[in-house]
Amino acid sequence: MSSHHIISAKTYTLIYIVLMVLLVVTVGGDLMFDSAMFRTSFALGIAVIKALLVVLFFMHVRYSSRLTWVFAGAAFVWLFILFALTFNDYLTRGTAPERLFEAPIGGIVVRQTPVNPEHEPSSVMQRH
Amino acid sequence: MTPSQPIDPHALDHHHVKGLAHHFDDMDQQHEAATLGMWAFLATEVLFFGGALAGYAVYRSRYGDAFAAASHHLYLWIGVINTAVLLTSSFMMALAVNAAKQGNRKKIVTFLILTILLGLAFLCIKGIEYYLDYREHLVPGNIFEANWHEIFPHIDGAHPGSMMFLRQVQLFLMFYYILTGIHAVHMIVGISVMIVLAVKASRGRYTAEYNSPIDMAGLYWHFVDVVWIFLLPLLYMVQH
Repeated sequence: MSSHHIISAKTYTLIYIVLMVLLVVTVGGDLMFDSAMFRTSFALGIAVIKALLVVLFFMHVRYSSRLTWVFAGAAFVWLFILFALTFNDYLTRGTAPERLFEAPIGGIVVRQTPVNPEHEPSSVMQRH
Repeated sequence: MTPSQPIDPHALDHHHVKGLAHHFDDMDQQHEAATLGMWAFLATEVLFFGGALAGYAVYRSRYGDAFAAASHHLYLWIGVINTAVLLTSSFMMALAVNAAKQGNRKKIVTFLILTILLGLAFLCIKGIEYYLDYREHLVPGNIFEANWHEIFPHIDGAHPGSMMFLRQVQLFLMFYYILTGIHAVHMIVGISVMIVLAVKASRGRYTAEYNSPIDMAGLYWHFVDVVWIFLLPLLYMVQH
């Protein structure tokens, strides 16, 4: 049973070291890679790995009963549903046939602005 | 059992096990019930933060430029230092749970105090960060509206899209303050719980047999850590 399983201080230390290394890797990736899309996926991917390590070892789900797995997993199943159904709506708006010739609803307004030769051509923001 | 029958003392034996509530058969069952209860609560917490994060994700998918521009004005290095502080705090909490399972009273108290101190350090650093943000007028509302020229000197206020852009920046800042704010509230709750546990532990309340409260506080504390693990890339490293 879970209450009898003692995770050694050595295991905790190892996990802690891995977490700190991953933190450094996150920052390193943010400074190193050029592609914005890749940097975002990279940072979030590492966050998922870090979260899994914390949940499995620090929260000792790995050594807990099957029922605990179900309870812990349920949280993330519902989270997945929340995101899946939300984006099922927002990412597909404006794609229905009658909408094809309209501007995307709530799209990035800055980009829809007609070009005004006196100002910057397409965007009001300067990239950093 | 009829009243006339004598009470079998063995049947009541487990009532005298320290820390075992009478409605549980044994420590394992009690611990399992506590674990499941805690995870049910944490599931609601996942969805509590999940709702805010889903809102954030929807707006970021639309206002990516403004979100990235605003995010670049936050202090990434403070966020990174705070992540390290919180991970270390979680590590100390894990060691406190480890000590509790061995019934080592002195170690439980030491590691709980270290966890609390690191948690307080996180909150102090966060407070300093809020102050620095405030000083740079990164606060949605009048402060931002009156000073945005200093934050975005390249933006032409006469451009038709600029007002929308500046509103989107403030929307990001709202998410920044609300997400880090509710996270900080969770930390204050966790620290309060651990202060109580540290006092009880110092009085020898927890043993190798009975230590569920420390384990449960640990689950909560690590959960708060997991939330922050996601807030770091989502708030401080927005790319577009």
